[in-house]
Amino acid sequence: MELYTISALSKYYERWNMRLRKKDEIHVIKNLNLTISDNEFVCIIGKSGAGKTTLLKMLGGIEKPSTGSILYTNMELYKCPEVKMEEYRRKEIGFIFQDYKLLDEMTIQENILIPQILDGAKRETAESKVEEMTKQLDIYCKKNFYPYELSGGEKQRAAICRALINDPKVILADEPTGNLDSFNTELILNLLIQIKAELKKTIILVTHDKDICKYADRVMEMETGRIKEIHV
Amino acid sequence: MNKKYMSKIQWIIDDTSENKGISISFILAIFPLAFITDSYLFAVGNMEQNKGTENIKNIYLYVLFFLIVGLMFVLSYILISTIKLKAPRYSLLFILGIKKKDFWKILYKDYFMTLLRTGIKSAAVIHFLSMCMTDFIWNRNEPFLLIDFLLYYFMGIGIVCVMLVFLIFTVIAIAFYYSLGKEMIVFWEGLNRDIVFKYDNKFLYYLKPILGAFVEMLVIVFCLDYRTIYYAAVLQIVSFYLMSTSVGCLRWIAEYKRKKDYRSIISSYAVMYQYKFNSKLIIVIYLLNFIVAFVVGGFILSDLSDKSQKDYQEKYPFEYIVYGKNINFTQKFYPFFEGETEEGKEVAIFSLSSYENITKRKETLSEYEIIYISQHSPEDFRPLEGKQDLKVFFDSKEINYIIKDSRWETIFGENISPELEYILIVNDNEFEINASNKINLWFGNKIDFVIEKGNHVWNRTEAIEQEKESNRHVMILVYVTGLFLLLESQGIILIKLIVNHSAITKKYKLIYTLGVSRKNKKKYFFEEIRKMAFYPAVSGLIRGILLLGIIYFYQEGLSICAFANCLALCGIILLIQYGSYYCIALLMQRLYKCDLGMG
Repeated sequence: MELYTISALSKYYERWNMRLRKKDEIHVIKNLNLTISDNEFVCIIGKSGAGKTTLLKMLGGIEKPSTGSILYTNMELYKCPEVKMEEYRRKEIGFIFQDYKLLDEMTIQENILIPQILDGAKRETAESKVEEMTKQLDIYCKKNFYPYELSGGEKQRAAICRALINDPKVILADEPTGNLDSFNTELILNLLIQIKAELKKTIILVTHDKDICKYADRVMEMETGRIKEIHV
Repeated sequence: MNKKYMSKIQWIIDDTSENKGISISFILAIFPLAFITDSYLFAVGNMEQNKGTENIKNIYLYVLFFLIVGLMFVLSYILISTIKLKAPRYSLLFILGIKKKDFWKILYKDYFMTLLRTGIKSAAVIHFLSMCMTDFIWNRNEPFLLIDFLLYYFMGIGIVCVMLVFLIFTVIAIAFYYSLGKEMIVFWEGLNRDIVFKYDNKFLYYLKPILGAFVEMLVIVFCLDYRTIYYAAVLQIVSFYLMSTSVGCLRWIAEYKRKKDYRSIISSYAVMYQYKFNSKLIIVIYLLNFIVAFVVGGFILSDLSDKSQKDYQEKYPFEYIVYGKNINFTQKFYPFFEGETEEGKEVAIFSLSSYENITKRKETLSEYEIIYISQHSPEDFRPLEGKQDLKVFFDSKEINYIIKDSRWETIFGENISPELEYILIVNDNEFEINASNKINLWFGNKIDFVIEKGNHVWNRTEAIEQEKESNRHVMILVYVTGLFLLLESQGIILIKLIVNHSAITKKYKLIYTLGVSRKNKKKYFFEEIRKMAFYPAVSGLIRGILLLGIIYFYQEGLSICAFANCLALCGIILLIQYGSYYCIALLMQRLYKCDLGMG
């Protein structure tokens, strides 16, 4: 089953060219067509400036494309009402970032709780989910610690917990191993494989590290806003 | 370095949204000083010379001094915040290999000149507005000459410029001093490094709230006695500081809120974070609000307690008091002569028989014995307890008198004339021997003789009118100063938010990614600003009003009406502040629309 159908997707920014004294268009994504299936592990690789993160943000509903469409199951993103988009970001998507983006003032448990709070879940349900999730990802004993007290790998596992807590269908990971050593990189990637296999999630991972590609079902190489190659 | 490249680098490191924010902070901070300076200049140039206006001018000078000190503090805060804001770009210049010599030139152009320009522009706009406001509020009777207008206008701008130049140079000098012997990249990077949130160590975690609670108990104990109430006023600031910076206390409050509604953790923990990092800002907001409630509330209470006609009758028993040398009264009059005490106070020396005639009371006085009477404000009267004698100088003579009694008493009226504020009563013989330079005095309710030039005539109706006018001036001054002090606190909040905007942006981008709606994101943002600044403001106002209420209770007894007026004032202040926090949130959203993702 196809989860995303992307057609003629483009993203450009306008910029005032001082020399020519006219507006320039900087194309980040150019006429992209792509489909992503359910329960697939897609890896998007490419050099810096290839448009990987922009594509990920557009899939995540936080960056509006200039032209083209993204169809998620039967819903066309950015054409639906704002409320639907919020619900999409809250329930269908889980984000993992390179710099973890955990709030310093909250404990790990509280950080993981945020998506549940935003979703209006009941306290008991939310806390039991956090307990279960932290046990699965082996950070249960650290749940009352603060982010500054954790190692990079532990922080990233906490961020994965937060991404999974609302049981989304898709996990969008933006260079999730960029700040980690080789041991933790392998740990996190194995964890993502496990999540895909056991929880039946679709994983879209953006990286510039070609070694990570071996974990993916499909690898897309991007260059200057276009898909150069697809390896299966 | 080539001038063209220099200006290009300056252009690169310049940030328009930051400059806009800094201008607004400057405007908010400078406005109070500009207004009070203009009002003072108006008072000096337009008010008639009398005792009432002298008092007003003195009050202006006190307020001016207070505001200049406050403004120096606020401006230094803005300038230090600005240098921290620019620090990452300066460190980048060093990473890219700028020469030290060129860097100081860049700093001069980018920091000194930009800020001075912004300051002058803000001061120019503000002074024009404040002069129009002064004109409107004080009802200028005579037309204002253009030359005077320009003189006052440039004088006002000049004061701000001098202060700014001094402060900017001080900040640059401090930066230069601290950068000596250090790697410049490390120094500038260190100035605006993201601080990692760490809790107090266990010792401080428990010590601060315990100490805070102890000081709070001391405050309550000191409030029980009128003589120690001012210690309570100082100590409650210490207790607030200890409590508001104690992570233990903040954490307990957050935990309590979490137990009630676990959804509150997003906002309550954010507030805790803000309190931890912005402790100086929190205490400044608290202090400004406390001062506003205490001072403005105090003036309202004193104004309310001094209104009735009966009070004026007691204060000034006679409609006319006339005195002077070389005049012959047809009515009954009382002679006195002038002297000066060893403390430099002017005294009017009356004979015992005159005093007995005026007051219809019998007293006995031996040779060299005196009764010391003060007609100055009763609250300022200090009995000459323990003082046995008083040296008095008159007509190049010096006599050591023995004080038989000292008291506060209204004979002619309170503060009617400097010559009659302090009165000495001496034995009749003593008076006859020494009164070579006599002044004749008459008082009554109806005047039916011609007053010759050179004599002093005091009229109650005119005095009451003048006093009412002075009170009106003082009250307007107090209200406006109070309001403007609040503006200064808003200026500080704004600059703090501008400095912290990258951390704020990161957080709200994350919350947006996690699925919060734009509307709710705006709501959370406003809530965060409101909670950060509103709680210290409320605490400051309530503490100010409570302490004032206790002082008033000790002095005058319980007055529900007066207290209700003060509470109403607090309500209005809170409402104004609530509105201004909303404006600040809107302004921040406008300045950092793209970063905050609120467009």
